[in-house]
Amino acid sequence: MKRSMARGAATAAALSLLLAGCSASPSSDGSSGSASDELTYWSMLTVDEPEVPILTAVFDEFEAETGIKVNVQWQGRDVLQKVMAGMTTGNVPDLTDQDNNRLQGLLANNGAARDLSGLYERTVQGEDVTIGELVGDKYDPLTKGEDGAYFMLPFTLQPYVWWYNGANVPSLTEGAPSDWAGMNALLAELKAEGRAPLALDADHTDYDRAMVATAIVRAVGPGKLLEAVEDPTGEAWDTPEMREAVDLFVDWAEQGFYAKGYDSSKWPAIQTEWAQNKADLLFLGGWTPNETRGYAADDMAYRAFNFPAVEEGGDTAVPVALNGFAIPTKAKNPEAAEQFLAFLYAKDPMSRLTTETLSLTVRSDIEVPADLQDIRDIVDQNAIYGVNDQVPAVVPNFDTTVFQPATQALVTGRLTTDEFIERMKTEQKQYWELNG
Amino acid sequence: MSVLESERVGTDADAPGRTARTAATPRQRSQRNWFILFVLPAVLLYALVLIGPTVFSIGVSLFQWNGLTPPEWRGLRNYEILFRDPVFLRSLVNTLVILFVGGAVIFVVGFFFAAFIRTMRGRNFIRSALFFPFIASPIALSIVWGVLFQYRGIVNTLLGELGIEPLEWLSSENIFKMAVTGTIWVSAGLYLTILLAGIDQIPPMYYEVAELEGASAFQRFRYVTLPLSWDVASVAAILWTIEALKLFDFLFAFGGATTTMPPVEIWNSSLFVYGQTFGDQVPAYRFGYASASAVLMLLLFGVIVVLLRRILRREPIEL
Amino acid sequence: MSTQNTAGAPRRAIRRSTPGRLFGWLPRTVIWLFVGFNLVVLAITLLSSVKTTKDIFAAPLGLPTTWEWGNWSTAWSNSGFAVGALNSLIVVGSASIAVVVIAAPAAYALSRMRVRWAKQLSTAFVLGIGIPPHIIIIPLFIEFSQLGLINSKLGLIIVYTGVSLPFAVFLLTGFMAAVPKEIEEAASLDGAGPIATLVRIFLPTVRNGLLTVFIITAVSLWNEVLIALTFVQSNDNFTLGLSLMSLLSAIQYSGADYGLLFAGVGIMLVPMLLLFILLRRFVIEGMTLGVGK
Repeated sequence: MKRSMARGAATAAALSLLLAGCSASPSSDGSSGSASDELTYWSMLTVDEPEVPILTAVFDEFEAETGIKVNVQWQGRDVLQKVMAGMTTGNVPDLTDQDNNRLQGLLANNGAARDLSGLYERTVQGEDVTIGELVGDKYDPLTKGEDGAYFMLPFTLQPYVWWYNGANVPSLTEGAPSDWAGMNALLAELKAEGRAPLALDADHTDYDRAMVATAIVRAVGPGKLLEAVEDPTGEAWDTPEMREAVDLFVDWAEQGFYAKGYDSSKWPAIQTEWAQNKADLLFLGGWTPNETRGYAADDMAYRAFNFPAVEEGGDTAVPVALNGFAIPTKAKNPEAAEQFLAFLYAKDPMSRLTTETLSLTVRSDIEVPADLQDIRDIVDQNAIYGVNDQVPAVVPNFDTTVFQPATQALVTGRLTTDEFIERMKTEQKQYWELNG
Repeated sequence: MSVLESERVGTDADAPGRTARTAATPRQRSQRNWFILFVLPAVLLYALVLIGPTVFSIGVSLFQWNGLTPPEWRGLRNYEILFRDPVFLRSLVNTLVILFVGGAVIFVVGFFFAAFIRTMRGRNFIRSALFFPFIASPIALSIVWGVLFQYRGIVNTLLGELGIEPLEWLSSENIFKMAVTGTIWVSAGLYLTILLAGIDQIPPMYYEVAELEGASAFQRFRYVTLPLSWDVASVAAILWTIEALKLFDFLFAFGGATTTMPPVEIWNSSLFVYGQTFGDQVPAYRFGYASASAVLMLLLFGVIVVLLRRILRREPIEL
Repeated sequence: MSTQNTAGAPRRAIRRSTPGRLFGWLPRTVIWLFVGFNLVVLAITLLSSVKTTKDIFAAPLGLPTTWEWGNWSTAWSNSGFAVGALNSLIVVGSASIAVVVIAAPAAYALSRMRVRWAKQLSTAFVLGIGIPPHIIIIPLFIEFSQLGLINSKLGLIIVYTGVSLPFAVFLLTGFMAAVPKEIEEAASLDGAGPIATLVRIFLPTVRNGLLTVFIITAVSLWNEVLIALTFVQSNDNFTLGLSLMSLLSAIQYSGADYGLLFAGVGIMLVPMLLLFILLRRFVIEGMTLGVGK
């Protein structure tokens, strides 16, 4: 490699002569900046998203207040791949954001995330309260690494719930099903009225798996799905509880509860239909109102209920993904980044984000718009656990190549309960033999 | 691929190597210097961008490496696991289906069309229209392909006007077929163009003679068109092999959202590499394993090209 | 023609057989259908770019109920396509020129100079066509990080030039080899050196080949995404392909505005469409000459 590198330098020199006039644009990463008059933020958002103008305004206010300029790059959802790529060379931002699974799997597990315990002690700009007091300890299981250090500061919450339009299914507003029998009765009733009870973009296997995983966790309990997945023999799948959860989806597919074409559309086609009242229930994360309001029916009133317990009194913990911030250990201006977060978590910017982009934040003391009231209550009244029982974070490869395809086959009605259980057992055993 | 070159290089110099060794005249030496000067920039860049990294990847394929922590020696274990990994095997099969089934359709249709377009009115227009997908971004084409064929997509809407019930083009059973069909659609124009131009080089005289002898359209194709455009076709076949093995963008954008991998049903070897490295929600960064699969594909490419040349070689036809 | 070629054809009276005509009618229809399909796709793409999402699906082939020219200006200014277009123009333009400038002398030397290793070197270049980008992207990234060429247009230009070289050399070698020996001999009798021979004799003779290489390189780099995705980090270095990917993800996360998406597709497509319409003779014929020789 060394020789080709020397040659590379020569070629580069030759090329830059050849291409005079289009040399490398100066890096805007602020790597040369002195201690703390600027900070670099690589965002998971892309430039077209509704949060962007609000955050841009916050950057300006922050600069006016502290003199620290925020250099932002709207990288999109693959932002951490870029951060990781920069690790080898030290070209990393001072601040980045993504969901807890990715932050943990990529940054924390590689020792690349700064311990934010100090940040939790920091007082929020202009308020008498620390960030840690605001956030509380509810999310600690998802934000602390194995070493007990905070690798992320949660910002917005994405609880996975059943969404419906209160104007479209008014009967639900009086009381949602509290167990699976009730859920099945509701679906059958809606179906009998000639409606499409369930909306699902089954081509988006992430969504298939989220729905199936939630039912399984209801049946076996939080933490137990991950345990089952980590069983190298695969036998952990063959239990009555697992079968009960799988039965649910075999049944739903058989009964034809899903909107027509759910198996042969391109996301977000079916969720668009749901938003236009062509289907009734949609199991999706807390981003749903923000994502669908652009094309929602005029009478849309976003309402939600928690995935029912198997039986009355059973487990009702809410599957949650957290979006939040992390500071790479190699960041050059970590202090400025923390200072910015203390500024961002103040009531005013958080309120603006909540109302204008319909984001549920970790600040439960902020008033939320009506569209978010249900999920605010669901999160506040129940325990939480990591959505999909953290399977995608702990064994991403298994999730993509074994679990997601199997759940897709299940929800599209191509497997019986026995076939699904058998498939998981065999493929999981094989997976651990190859990757153990 | 080296066989490709034999026709091309040294057509007029029988054995330049040997002459140079016995006695290097000043003229030959000066020619060698010029030669070096002319090829040096290309060689340097080639080494920097392609050869160096390829050699590096072959090395990495013997390790377990996530790009961050020091690599761990694995020997050939990555390769052993690949042959037992159902995901890889499926990707391999998909790749071969795209290569051979897609290739067969493209060349049969290509030859068939080309033989007729030759005599059709508006042939230049036809040629350009069929060439169009080649110049469009595969990402854009795959978006269009999805919008066309999804359940409430444009094709089903049009079928609805004819009173036909919507078809489930993109169900998980059909999605790989649709991906292959889309790939054929995108690529056909290029190969059609190449074949057509190969056919154009055939002197019209031969067709006239064939018609005089009463040869049917099929016979004209079998005994004039096919043998006389064989060389062009075999080069086109090798180009298709390259394209088919590298295929990525169209499948990637067709199968999924921008941040998730397409379903494993449509993975080919390129998507496999991507899935094992950067592609997943929490990327796997299994660079050793991914490199091993890429090395296998490079070997496969070499083998297929050599075989193709064997199969496609014909007695040279003297014009 | 050798007798073997017609050996199987029985001699018949000179007439056009009826089956032949029937046989000819069907394929022509199929061909026109295929042509029609491509034109419809092009029409749908361009029409959809000035429609609302509702219109696109309500009447895919109909004219827009309202002409949403705003889609184009929104994509252009709000979604970063203006920056992307400029970057793509700089990066793809420079790389395509560099490819021609570097590949031409190499192809000339490889095909016309009697030097040891010429053959092996050509083979080595051809092998490079088969190297998939995925196998090189990780080491390449590390290598370029150390050279400080990540997230720079220059870095991207170098990578693009490098990956395009093998095919360019391959194609141009074909063109150069086809130049009649007599022309070259006349030049050397005039006492022209290698540079003069290359510049004054060969380059003008294979003009179409150079143009073909330029266009094919430009088209494939214009549409390239994977390498750009890895090598570009800041928004001000985004290429058009990255802008389109970014827009695709944005409309998926914050509302399905297919009109806007198609406007983005249009911005990416139209320059190549114009280039192709202007120069299609060279692309189509050049491709064949290069491959077929």
